Amino acid sequence: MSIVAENIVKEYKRRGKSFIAVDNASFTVPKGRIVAVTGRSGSGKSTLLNILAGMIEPEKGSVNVDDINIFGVKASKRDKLRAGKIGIIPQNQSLISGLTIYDNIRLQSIFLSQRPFLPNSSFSGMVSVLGIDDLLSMYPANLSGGEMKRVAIARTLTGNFDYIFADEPTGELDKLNSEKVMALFRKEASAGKGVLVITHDDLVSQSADIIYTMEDGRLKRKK
Amino acid sequence: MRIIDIAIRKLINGKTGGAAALIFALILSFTAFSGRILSDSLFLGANNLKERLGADIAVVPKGEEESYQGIILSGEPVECSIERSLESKLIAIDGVEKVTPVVYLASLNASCCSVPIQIIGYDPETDFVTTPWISEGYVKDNKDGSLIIGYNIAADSEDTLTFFGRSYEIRARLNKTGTGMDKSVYVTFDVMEQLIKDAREKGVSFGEKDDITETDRITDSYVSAFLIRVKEGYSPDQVTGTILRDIPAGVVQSKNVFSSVTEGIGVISDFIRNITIAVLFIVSFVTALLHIYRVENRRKEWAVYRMMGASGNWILELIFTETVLLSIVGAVAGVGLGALVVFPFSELISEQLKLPYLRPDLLEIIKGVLFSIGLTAFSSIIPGIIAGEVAAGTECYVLMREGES
Repeated sequence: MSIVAENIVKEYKRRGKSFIAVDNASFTVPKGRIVAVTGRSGSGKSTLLNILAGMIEPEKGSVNVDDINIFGVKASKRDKLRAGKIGIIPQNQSLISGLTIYDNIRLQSIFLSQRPFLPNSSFSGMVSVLGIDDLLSMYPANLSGGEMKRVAIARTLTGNFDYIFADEPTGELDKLNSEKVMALFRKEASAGKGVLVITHDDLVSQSADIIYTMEDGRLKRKK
Repeated sequence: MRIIDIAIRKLINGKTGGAAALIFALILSFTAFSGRILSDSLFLGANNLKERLGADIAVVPKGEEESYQGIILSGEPVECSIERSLESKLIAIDGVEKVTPVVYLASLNASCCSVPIQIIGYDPETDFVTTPWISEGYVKDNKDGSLIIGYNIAADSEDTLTFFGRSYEIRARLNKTGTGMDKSVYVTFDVMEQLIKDAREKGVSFGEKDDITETDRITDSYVSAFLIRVKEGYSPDQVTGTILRDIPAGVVQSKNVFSSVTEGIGVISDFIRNITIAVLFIVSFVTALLHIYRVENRRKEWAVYRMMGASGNWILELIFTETVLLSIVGAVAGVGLGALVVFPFSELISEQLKLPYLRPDLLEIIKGVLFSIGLTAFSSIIPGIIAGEVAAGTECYVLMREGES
């Protein structure tokens, strides 16, 4: 079981001119593996992630999530499919202001009613590894960028998704925390989950099982 | 976590831009509550007036018809007299069941008097207007005093009032009527005789002529008005016609006093209703715009929910809950503000309107509270749905595309 993207083409128009963000990309995120996509800013990495998650529809190509063509079904069903299978760690701040950090993390579970929240011991272990156990009663406004990123990672990991898509998960983290995050991703992969990481960070990409580079919308397998 | 928990936490802790919507809900609720209480108070006062007028017709000196209405509605002092001898002529008129004389004497706003008010003298032998209200459970104590006081009269210490230098004991206090009767003191003609004599020494009269001697009972010669009850089978119009033809006096029919009051109340009530409807529409429209603005400013938040798997309906429900909660909180504040304005200033409002004004009982007030909160919450339903639809339509890639949430 895996996520398989074939011949994806995505075109954007900017200032009246069209340009190709993703150019005929074929790609697989197998379960049990960490896949990294590297490349310069604007090379189309995030667009590719959005397409794989079913959030942006490509002009051409198909994306199969566990053998279901997600662009062959209605948008509402696609949303449900994504919400049930793919946990996303966005590049940007994605915590809900006004809710405590604990509530932010728990929030994920209310949309996954079929799935139990992590046992307390697992939850405590994970927040401890990420170094956010002292932040649980605080509000997002009181956190640094790196802390918010780690909370977003914790929130997604509590969802027990089949696939985890992380867009620059270590962008605002120091080396030690980056290593901790990658260790957690490795643990998820070892548990049979597929992990896709979009990153600039060589340290992160080198710890992946499969590495792609993206340049001007074209995807090349590096490892 | 339930949606309502999230909505409450967001409204308390988050920057949701709900303050403006809350203020508009407060305005609507304030208008609805204070308007309703005002309107209810006026109708209640009018109904009470109808019950308390007691007489069908008042016979007053010619030209004093309006003054009589002033006594009844707002307790305005009046100075006029009519010959007592007319009483026998009035009782002889076909259709007249009962006649009783009354004397209206204004006290002074001076050291000789506790309060400047209207003192109403009644004849216990023929009275059918004042006495029934004393005997029907309005006696607060059984003191053998001289005065029966209206609801709004403040007694001196030891339950006495002083008029024209003489102290009188209070015998009973009447229940509130919301009319000028609340600002009046009622005495028998015997007490009134003493009052009139004391008043004359202070240069005050109720309008009696000077052709009486010190030894005469003044109320045997002059009174202020006669109150008449019409026999069953006769109409006040019929009897009024006979009085105007045979007696040199003016006539005021209670039904006309009442209809002029209800007419005034009707105008005010219509005004209040129209204002409330206008405010309802304005608030609904502005609230819809405010909530759309709120959800537009929080698009990245909706995208986060969508990314986590929230359905459009879930987001709609969250917005709807927030909107209704804001309106309920605003409504409660509006009712509180309305209560702070309407209840403490009811006497002032009554005086300004010059209409009977009686505060509704607790049940009616509770109904007013529920009506105002319900109306305000109802006004938020459509804005809530519109704003919810806008938010529910947010795609999650907004988060990826637009940066900071």
